[in-house]
Amino acid sequence: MSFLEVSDLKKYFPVQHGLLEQLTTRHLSFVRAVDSVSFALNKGDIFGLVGESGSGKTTTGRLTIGLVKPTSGSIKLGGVDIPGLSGTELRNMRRRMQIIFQDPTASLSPKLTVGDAVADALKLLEGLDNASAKEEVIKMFEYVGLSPAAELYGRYPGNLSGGQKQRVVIARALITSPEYVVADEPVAMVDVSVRAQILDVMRGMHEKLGLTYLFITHDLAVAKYLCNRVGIMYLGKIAEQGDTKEIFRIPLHPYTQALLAAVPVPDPSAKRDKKIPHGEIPDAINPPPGCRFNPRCPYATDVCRTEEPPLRAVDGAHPTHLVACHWAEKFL
Amino acid sequence: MVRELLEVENLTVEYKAPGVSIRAVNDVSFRLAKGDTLGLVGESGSGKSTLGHAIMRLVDPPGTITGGRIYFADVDLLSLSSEEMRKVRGKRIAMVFQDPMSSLSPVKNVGDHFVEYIREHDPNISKDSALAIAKRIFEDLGMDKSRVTDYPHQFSGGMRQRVMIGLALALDPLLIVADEPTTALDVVVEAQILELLKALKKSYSASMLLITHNMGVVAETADRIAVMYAGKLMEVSDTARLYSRPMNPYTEALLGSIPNILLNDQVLKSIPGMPPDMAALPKGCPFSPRCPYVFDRCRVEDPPLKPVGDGTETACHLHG
Repeated sequence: MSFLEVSDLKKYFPVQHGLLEQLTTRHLSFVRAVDSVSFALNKGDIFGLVGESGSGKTTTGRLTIGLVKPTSGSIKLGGVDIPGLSGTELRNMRRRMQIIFQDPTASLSPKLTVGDAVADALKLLEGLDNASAKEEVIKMFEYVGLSPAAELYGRYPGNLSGGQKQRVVIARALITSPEYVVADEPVAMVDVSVRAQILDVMRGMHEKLGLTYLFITHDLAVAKYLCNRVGIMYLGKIAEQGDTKEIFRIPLHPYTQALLAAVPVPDPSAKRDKKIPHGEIPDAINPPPGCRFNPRCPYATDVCRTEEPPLRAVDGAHPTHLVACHWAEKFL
Repeated sequence: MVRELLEVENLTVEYKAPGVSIRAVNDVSFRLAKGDTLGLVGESGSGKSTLGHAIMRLVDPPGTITGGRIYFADVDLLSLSSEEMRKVRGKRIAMVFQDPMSSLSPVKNVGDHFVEYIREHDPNISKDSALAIAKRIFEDLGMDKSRVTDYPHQFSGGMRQRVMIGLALALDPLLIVADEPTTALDVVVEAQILELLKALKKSYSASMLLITHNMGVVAETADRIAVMYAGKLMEVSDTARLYSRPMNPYTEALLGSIPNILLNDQVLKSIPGMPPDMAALPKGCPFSPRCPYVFDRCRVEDPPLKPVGDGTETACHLHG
């Protein structure tokens, strides 16, 4: 059994209507943010969930740690059924699963020193006293490269740089020795020259603490650098998933191919065939029938417009490389 | 002396408040030739946006341009009256911003935006002809011309940015200043917009100053690149040369720290430290506290931008 098992996960958010519409319309409409998503993580995986805005990657991440209740489907973390947990049980699970958000400034209270912010997590979730909590926090600060740790402990977030704040957020997420960490675009708001540092910290902590990450990103290059496996999401569904090496060596879904072609490469000598699909992600209230990518896909045929392609293996040599495309064989 | 389309000389922009003075743009000089795209890259706080706004003379108070010259089509923009400058803006230099929604009025349809913009600069153009211009531009941008009567909220993010680019082109400007035009967009739409900008630059024969933090974006669109750090230009070079032979340690470090999707088993070299506090810059070269090649002189003397051959300029004591 895998460490994290997500199967047939769905999350539909009801659309808020105006008063007139509420009175005149009988049926509710829904944003199908996550629509039948399945994947499994082994212990120690860094699974990159990659997609554009509106693909459902953030909602999927939040569902896996119980921040959002699913509409249907199951999530099992170390055998524990996450949606079935009561409020108290969920709080007790908190130390085992953590989340790192994109914006470190919004994640830290401006009125609390960063040391206390991290120590509070320890006191609350582990029941440590002040002195031993502080000792642990200073140790963790050094791990994540916040030095001099004892001095930074007493600083307020306003007196730290963006990169330092994100290190504090990472320290807070890791202080309770979680097994599973959802990292939601942790470097998107960090300065370019500091991004590599934060990725190094995340990778270092993964090795040191034996963590399992769900790494949510829109940046394929970052996913390729950090993750051993990736899932490509489009409009609430996984279009393709597998080992990072395989996906980048031979992308089998036309959407993955499009994403790869679109990424701007910091090398002007790279000659690339830029086949960029037209149009944009449609809204998830009325997704297109059949394959959700069909209106933008250069290979779409009638079957793509009517039948939804299942996620399946098409390459016998790589049974874990899955793709949801009727025509995937022709890209092998 | 024949000047290039845009020549910026020793431009300095300062933000002053009681007790602090920040040089957001510090003694910056560069040239942009007609028809070329110059990529201006830098991190947040490097001064790249302020520089872009300064060229339009749109620096918000308390910021002021405290020194230098901006020659555009042989005229020093800093010598113009505000009325004369207003005529240059839009008509001869147009700007495209990061967030199209904040630049468009939600209560006016897109066609009206075009009509108003065009007629403000030339009241002799009739409403119908202005609308005809809008429709022609819509087609150039790959959009259905019947949509000119739609309102901004009816367009997707990428379409709105196309509308903004269309507005910028409406008066056939000589120069487009594009400030992070694709940063708010997803990667596929970003690629669409970049392809569009490249094509339009050719067909409208405009020059472009493309401001971005993304080294991939400029690699694919710029002819030349200027790298900015802590308010100053660290290096200016042809695009191919900048990536193959960076002369400034900051450029080199930046390139070594960015994940490249085409590489396998890439090893990133992270840059120690963080960008400096602009209110308390280090003495000497602003990159010296993070530079792997730093020596004594770097900590006392700020190196000026100097030519080092092959059309490259760099601000580094390693090169003289």
